[in-house]
Amino acid sequence: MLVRGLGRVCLRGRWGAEGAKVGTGGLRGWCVAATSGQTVKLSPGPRQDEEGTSSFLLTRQWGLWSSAGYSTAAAAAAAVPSFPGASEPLKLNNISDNKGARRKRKRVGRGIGSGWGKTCGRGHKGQKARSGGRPRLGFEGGQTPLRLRLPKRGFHNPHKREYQWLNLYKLSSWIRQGRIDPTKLITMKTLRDTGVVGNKIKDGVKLLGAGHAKFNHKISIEVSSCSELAREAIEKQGGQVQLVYYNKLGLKALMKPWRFEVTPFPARPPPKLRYLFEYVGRLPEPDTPITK
Amino acid sequence: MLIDRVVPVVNRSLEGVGSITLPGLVYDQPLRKDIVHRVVVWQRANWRQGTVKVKTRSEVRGGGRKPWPQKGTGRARAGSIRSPLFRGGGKAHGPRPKDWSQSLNSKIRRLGLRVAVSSKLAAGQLTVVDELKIESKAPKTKELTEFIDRFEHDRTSFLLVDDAVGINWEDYEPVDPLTGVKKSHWQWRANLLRNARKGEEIPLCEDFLKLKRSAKNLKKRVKVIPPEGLNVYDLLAFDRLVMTPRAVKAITYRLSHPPPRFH
Repeated sequence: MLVRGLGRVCLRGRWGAEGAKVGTGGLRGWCVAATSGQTVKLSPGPRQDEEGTSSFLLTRQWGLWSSAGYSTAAAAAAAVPSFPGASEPLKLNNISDNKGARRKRKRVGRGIGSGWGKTCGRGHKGQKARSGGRPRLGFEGGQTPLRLRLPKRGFHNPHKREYQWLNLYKLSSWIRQGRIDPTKLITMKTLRDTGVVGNKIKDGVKLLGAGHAKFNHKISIEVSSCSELAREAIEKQGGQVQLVYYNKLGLKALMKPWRFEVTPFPARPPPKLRYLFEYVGRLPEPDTPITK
Repeated sequence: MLIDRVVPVVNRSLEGVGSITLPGLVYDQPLRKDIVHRVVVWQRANWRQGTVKVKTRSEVRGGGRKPWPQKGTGRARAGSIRSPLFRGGGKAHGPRPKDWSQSLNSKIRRLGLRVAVSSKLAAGQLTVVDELKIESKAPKTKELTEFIDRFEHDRTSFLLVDDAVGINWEDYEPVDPLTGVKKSHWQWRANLLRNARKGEEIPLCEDFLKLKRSAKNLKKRVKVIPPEGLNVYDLLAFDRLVMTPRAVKAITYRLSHPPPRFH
């Protein structure tokens, strides 16, 4: 038994007869014979069974013209065929959303029978029964609320930078697959464009050392930060790592140059962060490493 | 699913003259009627003008004076002759101008179109005609009815899709003068239509306009649209979809590419 379709469909109920419709949800097709409760693997491609050749069925199934019917019975061939293989056409009066996709609106104050009649589900009297009636968030009826009872703690670090991390094993895998060209300078734009890091690069990319032992590519790479292990592994192969600073605007200009009519001037790191970086990140995307 | 389908191309006498491949990505989608429903609801909501309005008690002229004293008249108390309880009074909770437009994810919109086109093919209601052209000089409804009557269905309605752009865009190789990068036809067409929306004139095909005028008196039965105007509502409202190979290509371009991003 073969059914046209994608993936698997579970046949339930009275699905037994020949030509039973398999049309739940997004799937369509007709099975030749299936017993109830059976899980059917849907076969791709035009349906084939013992009775007809595939082209015969293709003609019937899709309502197309058979080669014989071109000239002789042209008008008849154009008729919509009424055979069990043809699916019902979608029309304005037979489309609907999935069951449960839409929830019915609660109509309050529309009589006892509705269940939301007299008090509209608000109970009897008091602040919460009135319109707009509810004390503000965090108000505990006059007692000192929790946020005032507890002491302040912690601090906000204005220099905090969050990096997307990237391990060496992943980088080398990408190079092995040919998705990154090791002969060229690898910038953070290269990393993003090839998909080796995701799109949640907040302040830059940090290179980490997992897979350092097997790393055997000579690369020159520009990242925001790098672990010592990763740097060692790259420099052992004769490559180089350069730590570049981009602020948020600069990083955006690097990643998405089309967003900018005028490329912004590369920003220098703030004085307190200067010790973290070696160079100011260049804009637009450079193709050669910085020479000392 | 998603298998390329080869369908015959017929001429206007419905005789086979060749074949064309319809890519499965566009023409062989699973028939998700829920997706189609969402697109139709979205379309119809966006059609709404939202200009319906009635006057409330404050907007109806007059009614500033208290009609009779509060007490002592034996009548019900009243503060204004334009209160909703009065004849000629304002309307309580009447319709107000409102933006009914909805948003729908572009991927769902495009999938809806693919499903609608696929349902036409699956139901045997898709025909590819080599040319949709009115032979006579002036627009002729008779010529068009002769063609559609060959399909032998009295009650069938037809959606005719033909390319409306006058330039043969297959020959066109648009190159960006600044970068020298070749643009895709799709980008070029999209640009053309974007500019047309801004008011720039696009070269329209004479044959298309003639066809459109020929169908003008067959309102409920025939609608002629360019491939850019193909939409889910029309696909469902009309029974048979008749396209030219040029239109098929344009639609395929439109629906198989990712949505254009202009940068």
